[in-house]
Amino acid sequence: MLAKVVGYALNGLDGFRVDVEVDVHNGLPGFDVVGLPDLAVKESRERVRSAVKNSGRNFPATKITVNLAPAEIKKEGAYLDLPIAVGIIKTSSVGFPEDITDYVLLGELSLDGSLRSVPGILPLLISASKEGYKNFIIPFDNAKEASYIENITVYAAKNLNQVVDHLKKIRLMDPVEKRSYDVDKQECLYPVDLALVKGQATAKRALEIAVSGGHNIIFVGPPGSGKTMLAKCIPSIMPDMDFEEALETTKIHSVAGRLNANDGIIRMRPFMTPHHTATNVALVGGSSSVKPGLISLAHNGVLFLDEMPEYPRSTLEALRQPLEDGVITVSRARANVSFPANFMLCGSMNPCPCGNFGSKKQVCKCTQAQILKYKSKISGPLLDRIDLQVEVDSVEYSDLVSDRKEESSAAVKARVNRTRAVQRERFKNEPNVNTNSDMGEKQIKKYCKLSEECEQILHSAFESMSLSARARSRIIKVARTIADMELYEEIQPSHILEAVGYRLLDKGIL
Amino acid sequence: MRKYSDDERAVIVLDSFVGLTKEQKLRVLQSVSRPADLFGGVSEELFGKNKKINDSTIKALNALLLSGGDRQILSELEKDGTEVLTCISDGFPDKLLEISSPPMILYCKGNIGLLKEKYCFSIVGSRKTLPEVLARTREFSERLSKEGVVLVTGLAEGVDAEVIKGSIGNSSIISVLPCGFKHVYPEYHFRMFEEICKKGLVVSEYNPDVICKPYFFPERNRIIAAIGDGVLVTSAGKKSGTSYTADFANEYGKTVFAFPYNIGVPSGEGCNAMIKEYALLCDDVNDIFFHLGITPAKKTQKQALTDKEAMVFSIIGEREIHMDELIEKTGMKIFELTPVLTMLEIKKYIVKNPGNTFSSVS
Repeated sequence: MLAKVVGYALNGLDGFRVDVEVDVHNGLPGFDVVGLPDLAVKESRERVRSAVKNSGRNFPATKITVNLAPAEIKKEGAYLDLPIAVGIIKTSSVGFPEDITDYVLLGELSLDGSLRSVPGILPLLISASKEGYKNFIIPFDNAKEASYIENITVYAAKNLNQVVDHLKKIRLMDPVEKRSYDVDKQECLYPVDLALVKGQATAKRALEIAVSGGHNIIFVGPPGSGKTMLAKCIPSIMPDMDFEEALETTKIHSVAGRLNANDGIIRMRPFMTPHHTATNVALVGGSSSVKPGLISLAHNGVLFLDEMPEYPRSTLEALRQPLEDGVITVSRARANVSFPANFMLCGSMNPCPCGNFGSKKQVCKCTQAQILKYKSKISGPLLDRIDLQVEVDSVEYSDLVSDRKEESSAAVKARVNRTRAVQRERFKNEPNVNTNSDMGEKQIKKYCKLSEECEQILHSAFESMSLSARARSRIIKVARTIADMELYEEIQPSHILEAVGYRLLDKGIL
Repeated sequence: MRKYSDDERAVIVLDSFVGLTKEQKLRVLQSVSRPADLFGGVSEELFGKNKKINDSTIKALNALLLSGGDRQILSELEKDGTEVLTCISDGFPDKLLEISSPPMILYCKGNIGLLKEKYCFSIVGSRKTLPEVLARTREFSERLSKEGVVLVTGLAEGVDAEVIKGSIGNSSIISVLPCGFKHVYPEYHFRMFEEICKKGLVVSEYNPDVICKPYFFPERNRIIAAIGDGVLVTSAGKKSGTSYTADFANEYGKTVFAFPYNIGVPSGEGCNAMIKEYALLCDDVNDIFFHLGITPAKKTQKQALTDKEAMVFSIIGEREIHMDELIEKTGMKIFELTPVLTMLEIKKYIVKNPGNTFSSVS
């Protein structure tokens, strides 16, 4: 007897179809899985055997061969438990339709026959629906995640018997209710709000500019000055994600297994803070089973690198290419996968190794050579990609307890949305350019024409502040964003002047 | 490259010899009637009775002197572009011979004529100090060098670097190093060192191969104090190496100027202590011009301020002021204030300090 069931397996962020063929024939009792299964798939033999038996069904005491086609691609994970189990039951029982390959079955089995959730359901379903599959049976815990995909029918099963009964049409399950993604209705409860940050006018202003124009930002300041707090506020003032963005972000988190059953879809912009001991692979993605790294998990959100000079040089340099392209391609001998990684980089660092440089109360004990070495850990090319470099100073106790009213994140967010709209309008004919920070030299020439007066100011700023030449285009881009915030068609001198103020590390004050 | 006389060559060879201390070398020089006699070989008597000198050391020195080792030493110096002034050379500055322990030799790189200029003035200070002091040091250096005053300083960061940056445009800078030219200290100022070689003059009493040692700094400071016709100390902490320079200058009978500081500013405690003892308070570059007997050209006017800029500048006033306080006092929004502050900075009216504070420089 031969049975054929369709399953799916993951390769990077895409799924590929796996034909599960089960053959039961005479011979000594045995159970073999062929077709390049990995360990988790091989172990499924034991899970399937127990699950089938404990579901009260007959497990044939003959020779069973399971083939996973295509044979040359390695299959990973436990998604294929359910198709294998259904295939075995189909060979040894009656009542199944002749052909059940219009269904895609996914799920991991527990020994008692119940279905467990698996990571990566969303990308698997999206890939399968693109190939024309309409009917899916998935674990109940993954139902929410699947409910956002249109034009497919999803059944969420709690155990193996439900699946078999449904396929035999004895007891049909109800399809999962569809949900729609409504940007306005969502409740994003970010844990922090800008209103909680007292004072720090310069840093807040810089933060708003950075988010408005999609610029990367670095905060420089002594320990305890609120750099991390400011960074955590970034998602709360970023524009809400539209459905496409949310889906893409959810896909990555789903593959990484970071989605829990209640989430469904990710609405809040992710905020990732890798520790500085994180390995390159953890950050950019990889390992033998090509997994997305933290920078991909930060896709459409914020990657916050606290104490940036403490990161190994190679780790920081690895960020350069994704910062430029918004995509990271992870290449391994067996696979070559691209993960989206379009994130806003936010860094923080101390002004010197001891952290007291420039402090009014404490004396800095670092030598100039130590400070130079500390600062040089962030290379020039990387610094080039960080448009805003802002100083955060230590907070006075009186500031912390003062009841001065600070602006809330919602108010800032409204302005950010307006500025982003201006940019969308401007760049509607430019592929790959969405925000001012994405502009290349060509676009700068086209959209950032400087008046005579602006040129002159920029020139004198360079002279008297000894800025490095590479700072020029960064300053112009930031000035463009500031002009957009104030709805100016042309960049004004005051915009240039303000932008110049945010090139702290070029200027060498610290 | 100029020709060295036999006497000069003998001094150069003696200085290059590593087996003897400086005192021993001076002793040898004083014991012979003229330095060229050394080429006839040295003996133990030259070192005096009490000094025990190793036989092998004398042998090595003799080998160097008799085998014509001077040729190789000189050709290496020439290849490097280093010129040498010995204490018996014609061009050796008299000012240096007048001090109690004159250097035996000066290795020079760059425009050696600067040593003979009429006006030489030393400006020294600590490596770490307030940004407004650095800005002021820069301004003083620019104005002094514009009037033809050759400035003498070291090569460290902070005040030294500002003096160099301020005067290198006018090519009137002498930087005195506490190390040989092959081991420039601090290393990260090597570019600056090369720049000075091109436009100014670098001087060291140490052989190019000598690596810097802590006790070389005070030795070097005596040269800085001796070359200048006076010293300005722009910043000095309580236990600052800068006070050596000032003490030497005072000892040599030169006028010492110092910037005054508020009470409780750590980087100015040394300056105030000097003013208490012997230094003159200096708060205007004209004090130095007056001392040197120069009538400076009219100070170039700073760019005029707009009303808004003038308003903000008047609020900044004398005291260091924080950004948040400025916002409160001016009643301006941050995005209105930042451009004004940057403009003031460009026009050199104020400086931004670490910690988001601003202070005026004029």
